[in-house]
Amino acid sequence: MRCMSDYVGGKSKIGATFGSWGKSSGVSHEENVIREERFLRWLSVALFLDISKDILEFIGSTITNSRSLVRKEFHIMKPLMSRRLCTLDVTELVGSAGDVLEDDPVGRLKVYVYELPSKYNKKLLQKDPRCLNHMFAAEIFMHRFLLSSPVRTLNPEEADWFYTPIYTTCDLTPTGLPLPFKSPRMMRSAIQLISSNWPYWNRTEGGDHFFVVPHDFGACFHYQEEKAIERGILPLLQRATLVQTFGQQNHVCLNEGSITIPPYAPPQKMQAHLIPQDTPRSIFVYFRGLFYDVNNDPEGGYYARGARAAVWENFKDNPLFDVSTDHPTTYYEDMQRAIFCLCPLGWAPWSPRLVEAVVFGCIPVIIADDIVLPFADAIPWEEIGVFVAEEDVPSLDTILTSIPPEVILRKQRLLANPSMKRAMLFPQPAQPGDAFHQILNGLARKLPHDKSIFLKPDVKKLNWTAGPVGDLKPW
Amino acid sequence: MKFSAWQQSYMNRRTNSLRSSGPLDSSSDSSIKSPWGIFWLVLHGLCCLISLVLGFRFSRLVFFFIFSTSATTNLYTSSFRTASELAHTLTVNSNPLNNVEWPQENRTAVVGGISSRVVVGRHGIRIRPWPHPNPVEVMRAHQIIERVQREQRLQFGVKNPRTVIAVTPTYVRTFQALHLTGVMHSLMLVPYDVVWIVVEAGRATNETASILSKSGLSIVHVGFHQRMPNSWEGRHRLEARMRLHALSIVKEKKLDGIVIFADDSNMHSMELFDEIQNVKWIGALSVGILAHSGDTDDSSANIFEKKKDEKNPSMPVQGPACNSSNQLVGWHTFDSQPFVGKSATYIGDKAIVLPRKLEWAGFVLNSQLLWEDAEDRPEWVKYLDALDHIHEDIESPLFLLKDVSVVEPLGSCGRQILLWWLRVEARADSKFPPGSNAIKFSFWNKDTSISMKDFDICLLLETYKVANLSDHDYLMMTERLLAYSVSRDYIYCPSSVGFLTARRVVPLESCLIFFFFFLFDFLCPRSFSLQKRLVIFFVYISALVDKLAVKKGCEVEQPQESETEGTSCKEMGIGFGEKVKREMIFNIYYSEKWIIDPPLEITVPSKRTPWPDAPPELPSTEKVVIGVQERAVEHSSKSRTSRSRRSSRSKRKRDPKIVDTQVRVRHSEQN
Repeated sequence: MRCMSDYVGGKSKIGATFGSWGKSSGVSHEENVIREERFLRWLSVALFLDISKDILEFIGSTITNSRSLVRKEFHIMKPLMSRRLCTLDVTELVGSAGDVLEDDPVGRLKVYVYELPSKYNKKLLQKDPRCLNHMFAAEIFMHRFLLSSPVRTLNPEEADWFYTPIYTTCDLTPTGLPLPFKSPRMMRSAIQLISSNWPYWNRTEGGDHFFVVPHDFGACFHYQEEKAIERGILPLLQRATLVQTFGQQNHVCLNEGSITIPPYAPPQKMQAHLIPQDTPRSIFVYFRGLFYDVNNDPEGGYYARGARAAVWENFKDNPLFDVSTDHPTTYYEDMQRAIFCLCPLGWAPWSPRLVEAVVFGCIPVIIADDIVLPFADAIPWEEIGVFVAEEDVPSLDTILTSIPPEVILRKQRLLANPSMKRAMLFPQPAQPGDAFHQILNGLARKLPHDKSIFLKPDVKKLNWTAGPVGDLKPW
Repeated sequence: MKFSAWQQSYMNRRTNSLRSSGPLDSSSDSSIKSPWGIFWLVLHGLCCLISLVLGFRFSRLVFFFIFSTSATTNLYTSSFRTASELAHTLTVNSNPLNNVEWPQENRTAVVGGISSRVVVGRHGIRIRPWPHPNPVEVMRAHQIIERVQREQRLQFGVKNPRTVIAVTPTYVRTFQALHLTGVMHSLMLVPYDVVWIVVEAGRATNETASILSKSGLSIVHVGFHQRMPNSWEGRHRLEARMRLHALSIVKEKKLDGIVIFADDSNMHSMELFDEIQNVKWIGALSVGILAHSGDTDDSSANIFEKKKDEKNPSMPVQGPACNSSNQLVGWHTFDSQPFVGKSATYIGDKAIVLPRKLEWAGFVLNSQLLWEDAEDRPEWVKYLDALDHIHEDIESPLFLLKDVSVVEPLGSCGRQILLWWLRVEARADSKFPPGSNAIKFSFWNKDTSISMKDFDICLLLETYKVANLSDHDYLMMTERLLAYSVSRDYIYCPSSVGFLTARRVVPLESCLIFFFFFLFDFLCPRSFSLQKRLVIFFVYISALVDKLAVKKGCEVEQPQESETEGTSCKEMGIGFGEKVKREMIFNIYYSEKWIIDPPLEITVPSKRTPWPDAPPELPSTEKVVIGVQERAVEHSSKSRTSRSRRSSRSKRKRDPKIVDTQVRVRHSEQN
C-alpha cells in the first residue's frame, strides 16, 4: 500500500522504510544534483582553462564506461528494494491496525503489586519531589496508576504479572540530573527482598515480573552509551520484562520482550499551553535543546553521536531552521507553530520531544539510527514521522523540503488523531487509551506466559554474583 | 564593452600560452606558423565553446553516473555502505521474520562485541562544505508552509471571508518605493480578496502607479487635490483627510468588506488579516509603536531607552484596553510626555517622529457602516458627509461614532500585537534617487514565493546603500527594514553575498573564476532570468570589491564626500572605487534596457580574497557604525597623507554616533 504512495525522494524514504533493517543505503538524487553541479562548475572551469585532448578523451571514456556500469547496478538494486518494501508494508499494516490503541486491558491480565518498604519508592520521592517532573517520572506514575487500577489483584496466586514498585531513577544530583549509579544496588536489594519474602520470583526468576526502568539506557543504568553497553542489562533482570523508554535495535540494553514506552511529559502543563488550532504553522523546523553537552562530553562527538552538533553547525544560520539552546517560555506554543520538530538522539536515542511533537501535531523528524519507538506495534511512526539517518543530517534541509506537501498534510492529519496523543501521555488520573493502558495492553499481549519461563524448583538460571563489584555492595 | 575587453585579454593570454607551447607539441615548421597559428586559434576557440556547452550539458550526466552510488564517500567523513553491504544486512535482518534461531545468533554477536551497525563511541561532526541554503529549497519550504497554512485555514478558518479594503494615503518621496512595496507585499500575501484604495497627495502620479501595477491586486488609485506639507503635524492632518476621501469612495462604490487603514508606515502580521474577519462593525487593534531614534542622536535615543528601562521594558503600544473580563474599558494611548520638545516637527528632523494619540491603522470598519442606505446600519454611526464640514483635526475613525463603547477590541482583546507603526522618512532635501519610483521590482513575481519578497527588499537595501543617500536616510531605511523583519518571522538578507550566491558557487578564491562562473551561467540560463543574474553578479562583484577595499585599508567612500570619490582606493592600487560600483548598480537598476556597461576595467588581484564566512545578516545600523569606528581606528595608526584632512573630518562627524552605538549595543546585551 505504501509503495504506491511512496514519496520522499531518496534518503528519507529509504531511511523511513528501512528503519527496521538498518541504515539507509544510497544518496538522494537531489544531493547528487547539488554536488554534481558544483563539480561540473569546476570541471567547466578546468575545461575552459586547459582544453586538451587528454581531458576530452578522459571524459569521453568515463561517460561510456561509467554509464553502462552504474546503470546495471541500478537496475539490479531497484526492483529488489521496492519488492522488499512492499512485502514489509503489507505485514506491518496488518500488524498495526489503528484500533490496537483502543484496546481495553481490563480483564485481560492481573497484576500483583509487591509491597516494598517505602525506602524503595515513597521515601525517595519525599526526599526529592523533583522526581515527579522530570522525564523519567513514568516509574512513579505507573506505580500510582497500578495501585488503583482494576487490573490490580491482591491475590498473588492469580496474578499474571508481578510488579516491583521501585523508583530507581529518583536519585537526583543537586542540579536535578538523574544519575543512576546507585540504581543497580537498589534494584539488587529489592530483588533480594522479593525473592526471599515471596515465592514468585524464584518460580520464574523474573520471567513473569516486569520492571519500569525509564533511564537513558534502561536497565543498563548508565547515561553514556559506551559504559551502558559495557555494563549490559543488570544480570538479575535478564529474565524479567523491562518497561523502558530506551529502544534501539540489536542493542544490548534492549531485551527481546521489553516494552518501549514514551518518556514522561507533564500532561497538565502541555494542556495548559495549547493554542488554537488555526494558529498558522509558520516555523519550518523547530528545535530547542543542547547541541553539545560540554560538561559530560568535553571533547564532543560522543553526545548524540555528533548528530545534534551537526544540526547546529549546518543549520544555525539557516532561516528555515529555528534551532537554539534557549529555553523559551513559549516552547510548547512554538511547537504548535512548527511544521517539523527535530527529535534527534541525545545520550540515548529517545527524547521527550517525541511525545511533545505528537501531542502538538508537529511532525517528528526522528534522527536516531535504529531507534525502537514507543508502542511501535500500535503507533504507525513511519506514517506520522520523518526518519532521517544520522549521517544525513547535513542534508536535512534537502530531505525535508523534498517531501511533497500532500504527504506532509497526510502526516498532520494522522497526528491529529486524539488516540495517538493519548497513548503518549501519562495523565493523572488515568484515562482510557493512555500510555498506562498501552503498557498494560503490551503486557496482556504477552500472555499467556510461555511454559518455559517456569523453572523447576531447584534450577537457578540467574547469576547473583555477575556484574561489576560495585554493584554487589548492599544498598 | 567590458566583455570585449575581457575577451581580448583572454585571447591574448591564450595565444601567448599557445605560442609558448607551440614548439613543444607541434612538429610543424616555423614558416607556416602564422596561418597554422591562426587556424589553431580558431580551432581552439571553437573547441572552447563546444566543450563548454557540451561539458555543461553532459557533465551533469557524467557526474550522476560516476558519483551517484559510491563516490559520495569522499564528501562526508562518514562511510556509506555499498550496495553489497546493504544486501547483506537485508538478508541478515530479514531473518527474524522466518528464522527462529536468529535471536540466539544476535545475542552472541552482541555479547561478543558491541551491538550491530550503529557504532558506539566518538563520532565525527558532519559539516557540509557549503552551509548556505539552496534558494530552491528555501522556496519549496515556503511553499510547504503556505500549503500547510492554507489547509489550516480550510479546516479551522473563516468560512465566508469578506473582502479586505485597504486604505493607504501616500505621496511621491524618496522612501515611497520602500514603504509602499512593504505594504504592497503584505497585501499581496493576504489570503482573501483585497481592494486597495491608494490616495495620493497632489495627484495620481505615474511613479506610484508603476509601483502599484506590480502587485496584481485590484487597485483604486486616486489623487487628492492638496500637496503634502512638510511638517509632521500637517501631514497627519492631510492624511486623515485623504483617508476620509477613500472612505467616501467606499461609500460611493458601495464596496462590501472590511476597511483597514494600511498606512505605508505600517508593518502587518499576516494573522491580522485573519483576525479582522471577526469584526462585526468597528474593531480596534493594538499597534506596536516603534518610535525610532532619529539620527541616532544621543539625547533622543537615551530618552527612549530610559523610558524603556523605567516604565515598560517592551515597546509602547496603543490600542484598546480591556479589563479582566475582556471588555473594552479604555484606550492605551501613546505617552508623548518624555518626548516633549524633542520630537520631530519637520521631515528630516533628528528626533523622534511621534504617532498620533490613536493611529488610524489601529481600526477596522465594516464597510457597510459607510453606506448611506444599508439596511441594518446601526444608529450610532454618523454619516460620512457630516464629517466633511468638520474642520478640526480628525484624529481617528472614532469620530464616526456617536458612542465609543461599541468598538470591538480585536487580537485577544488588544493583548496581541498584530500591527506595527514606524515613521521614517528621508530628509526633505534628499535628492536621491532621481525618479526613485522607477526602481525596478522586476524580480517580484506573485507566483514564486514569499522569500522573493525579502530578496527584493534586500536588493533594494543594497541599492540604497551604495546610492547617494545621506547617513540619516540610510539609517532611517535600515530601521524600516528591521521593523519589517519584526512583522515577518524573519527577513533573510544576504548582506551582499551569502544568499545570492548560495546556490551558484562554491567558495572561490578569486574574482576571475567567478567571472567564468557567471559566464557559464550566462550561457546556460536555467531557473533565473538573465536580468536577475546580472544583478546578482554585479551586487556580488560590488560586495567583493567592497571587501577588498576594506581589507586593503582603502576606505569605501561615504556618499557625501563625492568630490574625493575613489581617489584613496586608487592610491592603494585598486582601480575600482565606490563610484564605479555605484554606477554599475545604477546601470542595472535604472537603465531601461539593462545594458551592461561597466565603465572601468576590473582589476582585482587573483590572490586569496577575504571570503565572508560570517553568517548573512541584515546590515543593521550598529554594524555600519561599528565598521566605521574600526576603520577610523585603523586610520589613526596609519601615516596620514592626502586623506588626513578628510578622515579627521569624518571622524569628528561620527564620534557621537560611536558613543551611541556602544550604548545601544550594551543595551541589547542586557536584553
